[in-house]
Amino acid sequence: MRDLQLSLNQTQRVRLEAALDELQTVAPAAAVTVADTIPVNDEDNILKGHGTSDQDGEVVATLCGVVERVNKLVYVRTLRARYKPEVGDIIVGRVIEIAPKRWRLEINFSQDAVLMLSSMNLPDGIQRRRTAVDELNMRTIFEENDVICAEVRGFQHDGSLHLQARSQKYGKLERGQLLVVPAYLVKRRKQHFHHLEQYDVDLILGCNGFIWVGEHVVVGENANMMENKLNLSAEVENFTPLETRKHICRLANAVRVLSALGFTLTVELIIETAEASVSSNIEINNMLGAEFYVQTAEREVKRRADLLRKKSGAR
Amino acid sequence: MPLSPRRLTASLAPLHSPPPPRQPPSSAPQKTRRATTHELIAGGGNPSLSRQQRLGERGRAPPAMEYVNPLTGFRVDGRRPNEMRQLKGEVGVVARADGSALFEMGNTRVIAAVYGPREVQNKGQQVNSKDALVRCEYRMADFSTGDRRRKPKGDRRSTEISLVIRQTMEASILTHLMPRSQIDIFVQVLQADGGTRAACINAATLALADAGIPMRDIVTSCSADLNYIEDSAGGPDVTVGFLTKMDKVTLLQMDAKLPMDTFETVMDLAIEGCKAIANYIREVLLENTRRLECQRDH
Amino acid sequence: MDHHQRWHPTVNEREFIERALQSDLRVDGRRPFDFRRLKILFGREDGSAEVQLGDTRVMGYATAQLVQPYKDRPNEGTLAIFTEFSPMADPAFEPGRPGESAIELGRVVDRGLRESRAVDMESLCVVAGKHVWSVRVDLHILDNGGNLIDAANIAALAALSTFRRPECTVGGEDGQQVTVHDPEVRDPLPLTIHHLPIAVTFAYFGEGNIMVIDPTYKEEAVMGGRMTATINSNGDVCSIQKAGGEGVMSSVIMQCLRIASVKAADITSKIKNEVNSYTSAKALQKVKRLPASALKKDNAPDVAMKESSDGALETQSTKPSSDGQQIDKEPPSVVEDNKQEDVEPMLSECNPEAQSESRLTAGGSDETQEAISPKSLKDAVKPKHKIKKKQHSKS
Repeated sequence: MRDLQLSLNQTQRVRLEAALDELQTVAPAAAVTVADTIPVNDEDNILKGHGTSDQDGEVVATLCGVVERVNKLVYVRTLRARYKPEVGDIIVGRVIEIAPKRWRLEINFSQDAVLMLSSMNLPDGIQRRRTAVDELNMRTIFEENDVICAEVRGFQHDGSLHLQARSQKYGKLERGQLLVVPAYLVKRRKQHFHHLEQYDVDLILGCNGFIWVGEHVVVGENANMMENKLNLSAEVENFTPLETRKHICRLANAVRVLSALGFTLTVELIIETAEASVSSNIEINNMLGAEFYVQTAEREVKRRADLLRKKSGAR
Repeated sequence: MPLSPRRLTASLAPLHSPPPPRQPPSSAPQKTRRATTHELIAGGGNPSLSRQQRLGERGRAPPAMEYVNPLTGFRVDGRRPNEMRQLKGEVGVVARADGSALFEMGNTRVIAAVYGPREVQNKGQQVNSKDALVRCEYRMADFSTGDRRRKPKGDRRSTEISLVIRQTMEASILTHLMPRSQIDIFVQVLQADGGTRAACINAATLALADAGIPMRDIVTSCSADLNYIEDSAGGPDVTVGFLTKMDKVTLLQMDAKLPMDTFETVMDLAIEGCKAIANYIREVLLENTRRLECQRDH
Repeated sequence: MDHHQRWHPTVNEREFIERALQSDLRVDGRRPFDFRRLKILFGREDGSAEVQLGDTRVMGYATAQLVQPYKDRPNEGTLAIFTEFSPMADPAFEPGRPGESAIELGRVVDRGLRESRAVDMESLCVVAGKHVWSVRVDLHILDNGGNLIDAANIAALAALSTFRRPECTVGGEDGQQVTVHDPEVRDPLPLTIHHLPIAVTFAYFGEGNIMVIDPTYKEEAVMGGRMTATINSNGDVCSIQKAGGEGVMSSVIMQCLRIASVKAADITSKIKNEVNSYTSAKALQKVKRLPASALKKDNAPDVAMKESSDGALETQSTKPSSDGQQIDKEPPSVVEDNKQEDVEPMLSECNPEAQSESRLTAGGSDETQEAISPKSLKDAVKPKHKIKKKQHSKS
């Protein structure tokens, strides 16, 4: 496995292999590798999408992945690849540079993304023209290595990718952990912001595979926090309780285990995994050990088998 | 005066290799070379011969002078003349890389890591903003040959091989799909036993595919499959890089004097080897893709 | 290589070159399989040659030195190629460290010569395991008009063909003492060259379907791939370099090799003719210059050398004293002055035609100087002040 260096003992290895083999019993039909021909009906006038090319009249895959067909469109959905932005995606990124009127962000794309000063709400929340003073104060809003959350605005005419953060829910993320997982493990959904009330934790599943687990922030308080930043006493008051910090760590480790196993990351599965670690009395630091890893794999196999049974039962 | 790298290591046996035959006396190199050119030894053939069988053959006294023993018909390491060495490919071996692979051909082991496509780091190197910039660095680990000498970074051989690998991979990467970005390929030889260039290209292909970088074809490479002992003794050395689907040769390197029709046979055998490797590489990739997709969800 | 400095065709130029090639036309009016005009000039000294291939100019310079052989090849001399890409020839060449293309060129030329055993290495051995000749060829790019590899390869071959190494004999009580003879006393020896491996470069365009030979720098900027086949006039393939780039069918490669072997035969005869006319011109000079050479019947060594303590030869010793051990036993004496005078007038009379034929750069009066200074073997032969001439037995 890529992310975790595990030393499994013999039994654990056998159990893990059995679990993973179980998952493979329902093999997807249409996995292809580079240079494989994708069979199509010539009469259909198909549209060739991502990951395909035309070679001597054949549709040939240019990527490894799974062939998807939507009406006439044929494309290859990649697994392990960098993030491919789509307009409206919610992403989490890391500031790497402050340039004139813009921030550059690392978002696991083939280029750095750009967040213009003009495409975000200022901390005072008032819609107004950006002044030269605002430009000089950019570093007080976000500085290098800050983690922020934003939305994909689209490609500019020069080919660069622009973001926007015109809502209270976007902005700087503090008091939490940033986790980086392969982008294909995060599915595009209606909801990417999750407030897990039972833990007082915010979970943001960025479409680009950057995942934020942090203390819950009441929307709208961001602005106040910014102003209070210099105030030391306020800092102490805003101290994250130990309990919350433990929750953050537990959820973060759940994400780590699931991503190492290559399971799609959904809120439900993350919570379920974190709960399972609690119920089987596994310490936070032991969540990354071999035993919990194998257990998680086995639990997932069981869950999927149950789902399948329910489906066929319903029929 | 720089020593040729081949010379540096010629007298030393590779790690974990069958015992080397006595070096052919230099008075008769002409004769030994003939033997190889006529009993060609390129890949293709039969990679399925079990290890057990091979070890069995290896037990016999290796022929001292000829690469192919005239009595048994086996080579110094117990292979048949047109038999390919054992292949092994594995993806996902470097955690931080976007794509990575380990590739083994017999005792030659190579690791490749791909970073990117990512933002261009040195804008001065960018030729145009319409295509991705491809860079490659080839390194030979100091311990990769029997001779553990610290070699200077960026010697002439490494620079040339970096160039060759870069241009070979560029022939298959669809650079126009990743404008304003760069792709870095790092290849490191962990163990050298002949055909390092070919193994590097195969590893790089696996790593690029693992990184989800779009390619127009699978490039594989096979040198006319000489192992280290044969290589050092100066047999013909033909390395072919082949685009399987398009049926085209992108890389071709050859040294040593060969008549034209013999060369054609050697090249064709190497191409056959490339095709066999391509089949293997595609199996590895397909298996990996299936596994990832199954684990992901349904 | 710095991409900014390299010549980049405009979109129009690129399209023009590609379109023209589709109808077998090249921008300089050649047909696809024509070489540009090849000119080989030789310098005043043996072992130096300048090759002009169209606008491309490369200078080759061969020298030799006595060294210890490699341990695994105790009875073979060595051959090494060095390249110099000066920014003078092309702004894309960076000063200082050799770039990728310089290294590739050096290695392609080197492999073509070495792996095909074009130069006989065993005849360069003096004492097995102790002293062998190490031949070094320096290739200087003077002007980059495209296809440097072919031009550099021809320059190396021309330089090696005219190169002469000083004769040396082995003597002394232990049979290990090497004596290098002055080229004036004993004629220096040419290298044994078995065959001439000629590099022929093809450029590929348009998915490998169009190819041309000997691309210019404009074609090089547009091409999708390149292949250099090094081949001799017998049709033996000596080395091939196709470092990635546009893929080509294997049948096309074989077609290229067949074309290359025809071109190689042409170029081989061109080089041989030029070398022959140069050597005969040289020989003519020599005969006219030294009518008294028949009288010089001495076989005694001019310079003797001993091993220094670490086993390496003190070939470049600059010690002013003439240590007795380093010189032969004959009593040293100076060449008679009147003999020199004898020679000189004959020189200035004889040579104008010979010189122009072989494109010698210097006038005849330089001959005396040449007689004193060892030719192109600065590394091999002791400094002048150490050369002791034996008294002639002119009775």
